[in-house]
Amino acid sequence: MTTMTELPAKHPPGGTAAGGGRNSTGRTPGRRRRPSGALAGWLSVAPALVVILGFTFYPMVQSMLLSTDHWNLLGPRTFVGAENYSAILGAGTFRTSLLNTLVFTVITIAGTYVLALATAMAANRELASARFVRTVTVLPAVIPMVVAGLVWKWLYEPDHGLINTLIGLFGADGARWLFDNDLALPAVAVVSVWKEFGIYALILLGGLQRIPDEIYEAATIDRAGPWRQFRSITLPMLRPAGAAVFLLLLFNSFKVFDQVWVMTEGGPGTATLTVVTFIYTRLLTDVGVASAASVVLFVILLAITLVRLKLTSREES
Amino acid sequence: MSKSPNRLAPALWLTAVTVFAGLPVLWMALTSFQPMEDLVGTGRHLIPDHLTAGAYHEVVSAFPFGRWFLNSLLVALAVVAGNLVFDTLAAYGLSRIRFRGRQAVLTLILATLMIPTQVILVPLYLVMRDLDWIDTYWALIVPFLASPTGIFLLRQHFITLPVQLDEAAAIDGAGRLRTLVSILLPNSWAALGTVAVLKFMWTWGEFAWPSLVTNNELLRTLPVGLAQFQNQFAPRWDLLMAGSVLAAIPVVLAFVLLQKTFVSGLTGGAVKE
Repeated sequence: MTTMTELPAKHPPGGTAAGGGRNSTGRTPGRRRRPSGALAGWLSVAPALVVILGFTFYPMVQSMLLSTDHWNLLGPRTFVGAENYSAILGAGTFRTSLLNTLVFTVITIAGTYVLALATAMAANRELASARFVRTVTVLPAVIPMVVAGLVWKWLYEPDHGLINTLIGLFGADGARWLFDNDLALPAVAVVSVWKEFGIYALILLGGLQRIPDEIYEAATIDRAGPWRQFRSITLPMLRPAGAAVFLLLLFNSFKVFDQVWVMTEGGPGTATLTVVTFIYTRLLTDVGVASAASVVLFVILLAITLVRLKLTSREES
Repeated sequence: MSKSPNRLAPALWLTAVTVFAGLPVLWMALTSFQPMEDLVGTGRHLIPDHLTAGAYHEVVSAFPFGRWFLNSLLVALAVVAGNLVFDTLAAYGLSRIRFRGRQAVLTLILATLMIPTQVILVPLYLVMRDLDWIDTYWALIVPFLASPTGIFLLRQHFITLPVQLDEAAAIDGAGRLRTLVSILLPNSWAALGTVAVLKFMWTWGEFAWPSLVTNNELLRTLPVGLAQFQNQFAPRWDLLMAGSVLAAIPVVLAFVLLQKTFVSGLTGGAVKE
């Protein structure tokens, strides 16, 4: 990333020289290569840098070091090399958690994307009610995830929950949702869809509004039907916003924890055990294994971020 | 006003998603005002027979809910204040002062953008243990006093402000700090508001970290208290929903009042970068 090019280009050539001539205290932005500039620069970033280095960067490095050790916080710490990695990647539980996270991610992305896109397209047409709709659909995003998890746990409650009560009104039998091995994971994913789709709809709406009406008008003249217009105009022209939404969803889905912990604690059995849930359950008893799992998660998130950066830099150029 | 099918479909869809988004929130509120026997009774009605604030009384008197609420508020406000000061300073230095090592600092901060708390839970816990900060407010506040997201958002904003503003101030004899406070900040309320609102919301909702570093019941934040309280009183949905409403109120209130800032923050933070 370049820095100077991001400053406004309209910098008048004469301005700096004039200011620099008059001012000798080192404050003039035009002439910053002075000791006082270095001092001021480092002073300005120091507090934030200390916090970020000490409480994010250093722990990240530690995470990698811990991942090659065997340690239960009390006994001695012994170096075991790649043993933790081969242990978690070779055996069942962690692989289950990776697979669960992947399934959770696919459901969340598909559900959120479809809901958000349909909502954005509807709102793009029907602007009269947009304000109310926006307020209500974004509301879940601000509610704490623990609260969202508890509310949905109550909605899913098999005997008295709203969902089974509503199903009962139609004379059908409800499901056991969070207590069902096959349904628990999708049920937990629905909470994420519910919480986030409003925001992503707004991002996509922003993208939709940047598509010029003339393109649709021209397509209508050429007798392209609605489906054809959607496929050949909307989707391709929405790609920048769409890609951003996709990668953000991917990144966030891999970190899922709060609602899982509140709703199922990873159960029934290991049906909803996600990667962070796996880490959390071993955090204080098996530091090496928890750290190795953290590093694996980090590598996944890193890969997603690199793709994201590549896409944004391609768009900028 | 007759609508063509072309307009009816979007309106129907918007109604459906509004119900999907709003109904759980409404249900939470309704449940919190119903007596427990009405919630689990046979032949219960979807429209409540009678409403009561009993659950709120019980939840506030039987548990240190007031304390948890104040803890959440203290932690969130402290984190917001820290970010407003530290992130602003760093963003200023990284956009306005040229110094050796600036690029390295910037790269480092951007790199930490992709390290969520979830992947450093273990080592960060150990750092807290070494500092003897387990079961203290320090553990809940200090690690989050500055954030790459805040620095990034503010820096992006400072870059859009013309340098001539600074130059004019410098000619008038204003120092760097003075320029920042009296020239840049008054032009940055929207960006500062966004950082404040996002930090407040995220800190308020934080769960994994505060439940890891607090064992003392009196140090819990609201989400942690709520989650542990459900383990003890699992079937009491009236109490759980009353507690949930209390935990949601500050952020929902802030959202309704500052909707524009919330929305621009949530969407802006997502698409920019």
